[in-house]
Amino acid sequence: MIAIFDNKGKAIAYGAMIHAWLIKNRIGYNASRWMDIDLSKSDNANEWYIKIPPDYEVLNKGIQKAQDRLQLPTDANRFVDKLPDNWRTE
Amino acid sequence: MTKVHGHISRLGVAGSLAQIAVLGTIVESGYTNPLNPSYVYYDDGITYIRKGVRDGYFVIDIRLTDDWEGIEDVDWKNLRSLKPEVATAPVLVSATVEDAAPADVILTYDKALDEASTPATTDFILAGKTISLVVVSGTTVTVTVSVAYEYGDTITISYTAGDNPIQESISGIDALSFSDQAVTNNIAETYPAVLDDGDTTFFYDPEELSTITKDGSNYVSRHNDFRGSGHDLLQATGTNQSLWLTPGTILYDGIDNFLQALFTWTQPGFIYAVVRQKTWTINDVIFGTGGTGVYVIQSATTPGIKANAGTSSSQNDNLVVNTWSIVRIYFNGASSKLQINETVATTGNFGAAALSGFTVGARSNGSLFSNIETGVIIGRKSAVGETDIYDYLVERIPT
Repeated sequence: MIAIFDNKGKAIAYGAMIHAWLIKNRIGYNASRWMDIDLSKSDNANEWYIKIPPDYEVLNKGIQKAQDRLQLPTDANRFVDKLPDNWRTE
Repeated sequence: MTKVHGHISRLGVAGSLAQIAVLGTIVESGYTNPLNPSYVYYDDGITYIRKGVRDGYFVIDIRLTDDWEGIEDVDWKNLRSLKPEVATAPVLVSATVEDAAPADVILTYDKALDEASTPATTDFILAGKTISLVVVSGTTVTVTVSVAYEYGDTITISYTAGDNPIQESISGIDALSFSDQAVTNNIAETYPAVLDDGDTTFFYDPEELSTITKDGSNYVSRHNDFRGSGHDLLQATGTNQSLWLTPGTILYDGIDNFLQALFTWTQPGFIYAVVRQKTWTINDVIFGTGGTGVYVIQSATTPGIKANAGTSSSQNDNLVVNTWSIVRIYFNGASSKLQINETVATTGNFGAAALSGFTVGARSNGSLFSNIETGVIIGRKSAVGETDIYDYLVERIPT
């Protein structure tokens, strides 16, 4: 699942939150960051995509407190399964 | 005169078990007392006398006659002298799997074992394996598994003594049980020898877990060259990390996954890859190896692929979607080729652009992501050994 944002700041914030959440909840997670905001923008530069970790539902099941589980962003513009074509070129 | 062939099977220091065997049959057994070495004898047509201790050795004489009348007028023959030793349990000396018999775990002990006491298969544990046979012979116990081990497998064995334990051949003293004993894996690497000729630029084998760095959800941040060239595939950004799958392939999601090694190489460059297109999307890049214009790309109609090092090849339609295949790409200027399995190769001039690094699942700049799954990938500086390498990869296609 991919969250599409039309606000760069919100995309950055959600990507940073995913990174922190994975550090805490995915064993052995050793990425230096979840995403690069400049590489996540669309070709027309007015949207940014943030991929939801594919294993987030599995990891959520192991978390007791609901507030500690990864929630889908409420401020995303929309959700898609595949990137739209305007991310397909340089 | 009765001819007797006998040997002293075990002698002990004071207070330990001593046994005398003739033709494999124990004829005398008792506790030694070398400080008081009065003679003893066993008379069943054969007479034995323990003479005593001389210079720290027991000396055993066997009388070669069955009509003994007295010690002073018989024909004695000194058979053997042995250094006194204490009867002890067999000690495990080594545990190995050899290349010649990769299904056999060989346990070697420090003394002869009782071949009539064969442990049950259930007395052993070899993780992930079914044990089909146990054989005791000489100083070894051979534990056979139903599916052979392979090069690089980590093997441990546990043994719990049961009704028929591992035991010393004469004294019957049991060997100790053990747990998680490391087994030395001497199975040789099985890749073609030509890959060691100096022309191999990279060799990625995702079945070799020691070359993979992945997290608890199997997302790959590093895939090292199996032979240690240092041309290691890396991905430090979480969303771009591809997924390692059991027993040893890597899945690229076609959204943003890729792995990349940065190094320099030049044409000619030969890439061999065990790969399947999970899906086909026009202009998605399977491999990149140079500037943004050097790649193998899904184009222009399904399931076609093309290679390009400045000039696009003709379309090759033989990489069937969702089917494991071996892709061979030879970037060699006007004499380049793109071949799937043993189908007709697409040949011609693919261009003379320099090769640089190697990217899997995307173009070199991290774009045009493809939805593919990969197995072994090999890069070479030449076409030398192509047949051997191809035949090897045929055996490495996931089943």
